[in-house]
Amino acid sequence: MSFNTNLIRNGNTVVITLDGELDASTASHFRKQVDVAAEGGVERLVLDMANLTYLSSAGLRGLVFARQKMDDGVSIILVQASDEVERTIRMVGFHHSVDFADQVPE
Amino acid sequence: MVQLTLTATTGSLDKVVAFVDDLARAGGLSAVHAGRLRLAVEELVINSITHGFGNSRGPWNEILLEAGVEPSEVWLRVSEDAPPFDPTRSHLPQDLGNPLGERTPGGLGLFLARQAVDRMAYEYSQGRNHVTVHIHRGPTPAAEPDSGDAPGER
Repeated sequence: MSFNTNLIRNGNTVVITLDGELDASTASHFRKQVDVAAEGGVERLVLDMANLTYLSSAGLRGLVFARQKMDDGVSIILVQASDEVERTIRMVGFHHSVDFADQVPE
Repeated sequence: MVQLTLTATTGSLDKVVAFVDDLARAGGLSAVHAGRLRLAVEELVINSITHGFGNSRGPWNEILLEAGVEPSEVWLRVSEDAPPFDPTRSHLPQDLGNPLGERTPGGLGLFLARQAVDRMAYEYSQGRNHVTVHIHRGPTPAAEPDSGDAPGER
């Protein structure tokens, strides 16, 4: 199982690219990146999921953590989530707290 | 039938995933169904480790995985000797409709596990919990029609 992230800050937008499997063994890595993203002003947190191949409950809790870590006004945008990843998110109702997009916003 | 005995530690999860991947391949499951099987089994095993054995957990606890490929389905049974617990009857998370930031963690993994598979059954016998998950081998709606013979069997 492998999981890599890349974080880019562009003004008030932070883009974290998720590559691999977000599960019990990799969720702490993701949380650390969310911590990094939260340092400094953030208005948009973009999670590029084009290469995210798996999301378990631990990964979902990572999303909960991100939502709690960010102020209420911060939008969290999930880009190119696969059908299965999106299904998992919708199944538990988490889609109410995030936005889906086809591409990383400008 | 194939089986695998694991120590009840999170370090065993890689082995669980490899076991499930092999099973999915043997059963010719689509990538989508293979992913759902993995999700269910991983959540069940994590639940056994973290809640079933709880504070007494350690490498002395073991979890047994047994699995098989039948003509119409793939099944996998997780069994261990933690205190009796029926994951098919555990309460659903009550706050699923709440905004993400207002939720409390817990119950999520088993909820996902139940949603991921076609059937989940529980039995407590001879001092052990036995949870069996079943996934149909039929093609997913998006997949190509198939003769029904195990296309991915090695």
